[in-house]
Amino acid sequence: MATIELSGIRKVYPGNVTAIHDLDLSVDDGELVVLVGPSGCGKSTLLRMVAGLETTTAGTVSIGGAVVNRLEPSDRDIAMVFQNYALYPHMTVRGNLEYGLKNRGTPRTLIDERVAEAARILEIAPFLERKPRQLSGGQRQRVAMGRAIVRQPKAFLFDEPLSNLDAKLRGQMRVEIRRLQRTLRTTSLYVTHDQLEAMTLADRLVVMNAGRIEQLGKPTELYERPASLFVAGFIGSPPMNFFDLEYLREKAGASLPTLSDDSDIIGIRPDSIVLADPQEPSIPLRGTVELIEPVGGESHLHLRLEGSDQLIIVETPGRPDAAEGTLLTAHLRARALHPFNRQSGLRTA
Amino acid sequence: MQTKRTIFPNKLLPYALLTPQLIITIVFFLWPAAQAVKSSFEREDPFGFRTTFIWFQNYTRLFGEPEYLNSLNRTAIFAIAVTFISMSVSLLLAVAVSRLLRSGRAYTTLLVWPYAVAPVLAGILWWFMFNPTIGIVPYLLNQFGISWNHRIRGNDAMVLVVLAASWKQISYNFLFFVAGLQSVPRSLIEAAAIDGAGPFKRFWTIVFPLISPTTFFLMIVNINYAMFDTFGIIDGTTSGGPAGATNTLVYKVYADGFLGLNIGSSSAQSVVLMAIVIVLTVIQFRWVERRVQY
Amino acid sequence: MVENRPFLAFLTHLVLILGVAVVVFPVYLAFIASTHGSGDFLRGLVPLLPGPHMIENYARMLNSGLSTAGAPPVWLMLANSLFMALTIAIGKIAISIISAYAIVYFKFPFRLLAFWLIFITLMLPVEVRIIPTFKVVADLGMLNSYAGLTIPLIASATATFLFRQFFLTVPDELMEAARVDGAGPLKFFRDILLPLSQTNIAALFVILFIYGWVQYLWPLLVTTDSRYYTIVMGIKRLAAAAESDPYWNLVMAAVILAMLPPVLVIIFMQRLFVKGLVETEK
Repeated sequence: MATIELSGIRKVYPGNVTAIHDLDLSVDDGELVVLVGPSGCGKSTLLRMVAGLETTTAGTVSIGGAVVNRLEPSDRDIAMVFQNYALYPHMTVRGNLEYGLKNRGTPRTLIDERVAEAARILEIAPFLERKPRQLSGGQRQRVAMGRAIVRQPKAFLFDEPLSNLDAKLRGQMRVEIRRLQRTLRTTSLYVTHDQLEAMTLADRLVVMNAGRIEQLGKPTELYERPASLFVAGFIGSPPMNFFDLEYLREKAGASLPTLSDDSDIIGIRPDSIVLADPQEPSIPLRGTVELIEPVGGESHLHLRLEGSDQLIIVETPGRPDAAEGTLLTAHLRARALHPFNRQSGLRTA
Repeated sequence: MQTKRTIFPNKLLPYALLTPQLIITIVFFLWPAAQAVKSSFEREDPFGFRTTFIWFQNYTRLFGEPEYLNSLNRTAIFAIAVTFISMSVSLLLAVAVSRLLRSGRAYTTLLVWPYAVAPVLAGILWWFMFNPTIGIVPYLLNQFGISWNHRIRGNDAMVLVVLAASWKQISYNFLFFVAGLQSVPRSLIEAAAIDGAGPFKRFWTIVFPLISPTTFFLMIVNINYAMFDTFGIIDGTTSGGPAGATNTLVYKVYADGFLGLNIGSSSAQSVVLMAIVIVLTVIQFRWVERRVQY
Repeated sequence: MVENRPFLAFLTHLVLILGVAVVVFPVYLAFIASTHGSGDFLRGLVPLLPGPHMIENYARMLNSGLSTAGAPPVWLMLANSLFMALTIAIGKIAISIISAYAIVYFKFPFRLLAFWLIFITLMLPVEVRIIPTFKVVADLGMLNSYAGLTIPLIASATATFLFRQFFLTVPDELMEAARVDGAGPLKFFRDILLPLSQTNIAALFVILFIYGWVQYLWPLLVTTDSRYYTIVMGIKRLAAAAESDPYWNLVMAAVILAMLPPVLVIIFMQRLFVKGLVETEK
């Protein structure tokens, strides 16, 4: 068991492109930390630096208390699960699982024991003698996981491991990875661009943007108190609605809570807007229903606001009575407003 | 130039891996080529004791020689004829094969094996067929009142080497044309059929323009083949004769340098040939780039 | 095809049958000649139907050859050709695959220069540098030796490019996974890359085997000792001799024997052959 410590990590590519700006992060023993962000934000680069597949321009990477900057990937005692699984196509599943152990000179009996154990946990025992191309996507994904766990490494590194699966399988495997990580208690760093995956998997979540950490914390913290406009917009689906403070002030009257002076942009999540008057301080906005997307248990209403022409999304339980094209009033709960400063992009209160 | 996203950090290993290839390249390719360039500017005295630097004299003399100009001329005729005949026959056969489903494979097998016949053997086979005393073709021609003797008549000799060289190259062109024809989308042909174009019109207006990259590529490859890979065919049939009628540039380099021991002139000829290969290679690779963009 | 026209189908088959006839006829004639006694050629026209002397002719050529023509028995020349073709094919594949590996999986000073040096060999076929190459081989004492027959032909830009092209399509993650799994460069090459290259190696082998087998000018330059004659160059000597003594039956038996190995390779490995041919030209 081990911690991962990153301090002052910087990555500059040839041509002076800085991918990571002096970044600090520590992953506690047994914790699963998810790095999430848009493509090109540096999350994969960071993971690959931990793995040793990418050099660090400055700063130190420590795994289990030892600085590993100069160590080869194989000497860092980590295991990695790749987006395209990177299974060796010419080896059987068993061959794939064994390869890393064999290279380390692990005794035969121990190899067999570990492989059997991993196959049992991941339920891939029936496929052990097959080649990867004879497996389905989900099965390949399990083999990739198996290859990581047989090694019993200090840390697991996941590089978008579920991106190549269809939506349904992705949901299943997400639960499975979570269960597995809880059982094994192996320190894990997990990269994804899917915020739902990030929210459901993470002990702690790191939102990255342009080579920097935007916010770090428990998924619920990030959802409930996004520290910046970027995080507010990135976490949550459908995304947060934003308003000019001036516009709201005009509509709200007395129901607008007191905000610090530097606030000039206000966000609110679609699930904090209700159609019926909530009997609590709220801001009423009138608009035309442009589109109703029923998504099962709830519906997403796209509302074109009167006066500003802005389009907002309202998440409402069940089926709304309103038809497309009708005019209605939506109520923004005053308690659920997130104030930001446009200039700095930061939360103001 | 492209490498992998991550690379192995070893410093010396890549040099070790490249060493065998580079040693052979330098010793047997670059060094001799440099020697050829060097001696193309020199004259050796008859006993090989002294060499003098003579600038471009070898070249000016070369382009003044009627034999060399004749050889240039003969090579051009030979290359154009081989390219045209071999490509036309191959295209016809490829179009025919691509119309068939199952039997196409059998025909393909029967058509591709001449690729494995050494040029000199191809030469001997055709020479045997056209042999003026016992060959079957002169016998048949004689029935029609045409007399054939490639040992005496230059044009007969040229026809013989062109036929042998084209025969040998059919399999190669055929395979590339088949591959090119397969890459023409069926939907286009069907659309043209719906638009009322018959099979011949479809071929000339849709298929042929679409395989033009293949055609162009093969043209370069065939010219290259006719100029440089047909030494065996010439040596196996006419040995450049009669009276230089089939003395192609490559055959002349061999004859002048290796048999005639005229180093200076042979080197100058080598350098001219190198320039031709370089031009052809550059054109060919340009074409590859263009094809990638499609 | 789009429509069904009986006339067009007939024409298609007619064209192909004529094509096959043209392609096969010269070899058929040679084969027929090889089954006759030498007296059958004195009448002035080659026979068109098989004669009774096939086994006798082939056995004679294989075992003793035509001593008057100064060529050794055909079996020896076949063995030399086989050795030459195998050495060239295996040698080219071996040195090209490791060069491509160095160029794709490593970064080092002069990498681009190395690539260009290899590329240049494409522009320098033996035919354009006959004399100086002969001199180098002579100076190295490699005339009349198996080393002289094979080593100078082993450098290969095409094979290097083919492997480079193939390596670039191998997912980066495979190498990364192998590194995490503790494989160094040599282990990765042996355990992962080499097995993955199997089909390419096989396809290239077919092409290069044929290339090695049909070499003519090079053996002609470097061998004067008949013990080192390859079948392809040896036949030229036989054919030259047949101009005076009409041993056409024997010469053609040797021609058929010389063609047989590479032609069989193409027929039985047609798939690999086509793949190799089309891909080496990319």
